[in-house]
Amino acid sequence: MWLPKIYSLTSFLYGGQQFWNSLPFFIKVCFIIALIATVGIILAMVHIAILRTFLKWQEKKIAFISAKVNELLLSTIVLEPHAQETGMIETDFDITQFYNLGLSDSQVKNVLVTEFISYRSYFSGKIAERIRKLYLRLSLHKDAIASLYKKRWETKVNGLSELFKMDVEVDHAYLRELLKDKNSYIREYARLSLIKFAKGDPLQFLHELNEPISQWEEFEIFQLLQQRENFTLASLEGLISVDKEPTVASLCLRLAVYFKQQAAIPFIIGLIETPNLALRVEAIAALGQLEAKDAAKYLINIYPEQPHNIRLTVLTALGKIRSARYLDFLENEFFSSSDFEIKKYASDAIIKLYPISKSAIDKMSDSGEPLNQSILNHSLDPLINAS
Amino acid sequence: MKNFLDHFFESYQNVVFIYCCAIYAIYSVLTLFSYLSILSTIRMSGIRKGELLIHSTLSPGISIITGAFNEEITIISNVRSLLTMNYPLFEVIIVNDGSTDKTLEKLIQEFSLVEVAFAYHYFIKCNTVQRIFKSENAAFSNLLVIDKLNGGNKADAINGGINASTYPYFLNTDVDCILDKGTLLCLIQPFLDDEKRVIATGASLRMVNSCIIDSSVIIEARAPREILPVFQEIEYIRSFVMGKMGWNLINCIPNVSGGLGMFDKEIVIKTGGYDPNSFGEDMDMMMRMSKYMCETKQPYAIRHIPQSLCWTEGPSTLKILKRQRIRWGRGLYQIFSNYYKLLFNPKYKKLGMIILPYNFIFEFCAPMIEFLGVICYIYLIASHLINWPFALILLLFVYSFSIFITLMSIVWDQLVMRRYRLKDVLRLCMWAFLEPILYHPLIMIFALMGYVNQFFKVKSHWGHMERKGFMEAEKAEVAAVN
Repeated sequence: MWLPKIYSLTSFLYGGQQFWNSLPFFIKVCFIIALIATVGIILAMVHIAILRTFLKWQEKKIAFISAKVNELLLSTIVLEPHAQETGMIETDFDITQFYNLGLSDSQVKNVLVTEFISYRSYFSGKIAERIRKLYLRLSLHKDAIASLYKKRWETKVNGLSELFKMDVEVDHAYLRELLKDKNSYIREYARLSLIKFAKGDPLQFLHELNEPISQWEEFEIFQLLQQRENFTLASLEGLISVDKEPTVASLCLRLAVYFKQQAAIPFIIGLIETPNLALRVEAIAALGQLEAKDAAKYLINIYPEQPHNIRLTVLTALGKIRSARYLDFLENEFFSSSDFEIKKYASDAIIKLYPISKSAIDKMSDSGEPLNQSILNHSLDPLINAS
Repeated sequence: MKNFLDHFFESYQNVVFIYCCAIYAIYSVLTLFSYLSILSTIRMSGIRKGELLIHSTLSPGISIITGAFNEEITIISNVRSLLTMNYPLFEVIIVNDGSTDKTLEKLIQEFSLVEVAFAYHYFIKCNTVQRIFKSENAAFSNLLVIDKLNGGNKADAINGGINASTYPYFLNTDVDCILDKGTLLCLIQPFLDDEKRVIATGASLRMVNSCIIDSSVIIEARAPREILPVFQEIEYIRSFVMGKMGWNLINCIPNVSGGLGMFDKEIVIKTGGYDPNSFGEDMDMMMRMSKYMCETKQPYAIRHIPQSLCWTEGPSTLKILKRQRIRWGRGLYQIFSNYYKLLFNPKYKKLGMIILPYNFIFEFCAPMIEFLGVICYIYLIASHLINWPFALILLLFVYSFSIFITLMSIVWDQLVMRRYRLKDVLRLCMWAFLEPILYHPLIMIFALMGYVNQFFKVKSHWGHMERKGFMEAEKAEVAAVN
């Protein structure tokens, strides 16, 4: 009974083999690719189903752990009656509740670290310090430190970032080594850590830095210094310089403005000679923000040979410097220039000089020129300038 | 004659085969590139946190610019939604593009707007601006409404907004799009974190058709249920997640969608703003910006992020889809008639040697080659010249590979976007099997119609997208109860 079946199958396979052999090479290749694609289609769909099911399960698990960690943190750290007292973690506090979460599970550890970092971003002072101590007592920092010696760059960066956010100092010699790493993110986080934990001048190493830093890193450094307690900015001599890497000079300009470092004004004036137009704009804007009265004359002197956007920045800076001595210059620019933006920026600067500029404003108002009138009205409108 | 045709079509088969193999080879490479690109984004998301920008005093300002033409039904909730973006420094500029309904009146009433003495200057060309409004309510101090004469297209409205914008970057979006609250935080990041000067950033768009919405906020993301939007969703996933993320790895993104894109205002103004005469104003803008950067020898980058930040209503009727795709076809034709000198021109580096050649050979020529291929197929069948076993194997090859590529895009998408339920995702996978048979031929025909219209300079206007509106949360509840 089964013999004919085997015979027909064999002849079918034999026929198939003959057919296959008769196919040209490119058709065979297409057939194989089609088969691979079909298997790929099935695998893709199975993968989606498995991935989503697994992730759903994982999300549930993380949500459960996260809720527990939150509950513990709130009851033992945040809402605890002695929350404002120091030294609680070491003496009175029972950390077994946290151990009971199952610290051998890497997911539990990850959730704990994520929650700790998040709580430290919401709370400062003693609560933040207590969370840091708890982090150390649970030895969670050990994993982060170990990750600094791993090969993958993102593992290193994540480790650095975690320790940085939890205020755990890393060996400075090792950080200096990381400054030479070929990955830019590792170098960036090494720099941030060095600034954060520097004993002396946190910007010391900027003198050695000759590579560009991203705007993002600039923001990070800026925020770090803003948050540093009892911080006084050291002299920026040599950093605000034409010879310095432009992005580093740009960061220092922003720092000089934020920390109102009047001593930096001569260096900033020197930076105006830079061929980098974007940096020149920043330097002039910084002079305005620092209300550098001594620089105003210099700005007016260089004004005629500057490109359009730099002229606009000079006008804005003069408005911020608020010196009556240069009102004539602004007025002249407003009336003599045919450029809309020059007129508008001059008008804005004149308005900023009010009440010194009252007579100039009256003159502008009486000029009868529709464009002048329109620009003046724009500068004077409180709603337009409200945002 | 018959001999000639036989010979021609037989040779043409080889052309199509080589073309098909080339396009699949490129798709395979793009699939790999997009995977690497998405992995890199996932890694970076652990390192770069948007909170830094929220708290930083240095975060650059962004102007959100959007045009509104007869949007009285949805304008208020959409503007409110834009005003609640999660970003420390931004303004919302609504350009009322000559609406004939009560769009402007509603805005004035809802946001306590008053006319201001704004000194408006036409840095880039646009139709006449009549009035400008600001709110007396301090809560809406970052809202600016421009009332201008209708320019007939979106490009003109956006140009009108750019002229009045304050900040160095602007976000171009459609007023009826629903944006994620973190859109600005996500899109500004590449501008601050790239070694090169980033001139534009885009993100993935999705179909909002079946989502549940409450006050312009997506309560529940659902994959589209209707047949046309579901095919468009699949097409978008393939285009954004596989295509653009793949090109992102080698900095060869050809286009930032008109639905959502953030731009460097300085470069946009230097290149003259959006071209109101272009049917594909978004791609035209990118071409001009890239061309300008190459000509001024400035290194630049255009970036794409895989997150779905913008939800838009896709055409759900054949009539609207046809109109949209004909316009896109005309836009592509215009691109190659305006920028043909850049093709294979090494002076324009990647733009001239990769982006334009790829788009010319595999995007612009594809509908023509396919159409001729179909005719060839019919002729060969009619002439009994077809080798059926070979033809079926080749058909299986083309069909299975195209579905494989689509499904890989959906898999990659799942790495970053898991807002749809598993059931919805699997449904999308199933529809992917029908897409090459039902949807793709339509798109090919509409593109060809676009080329023909453009070739013969057939007069056309943008037309208003007739919207069905979103499924509000309350309606969805009623539907669920019933």
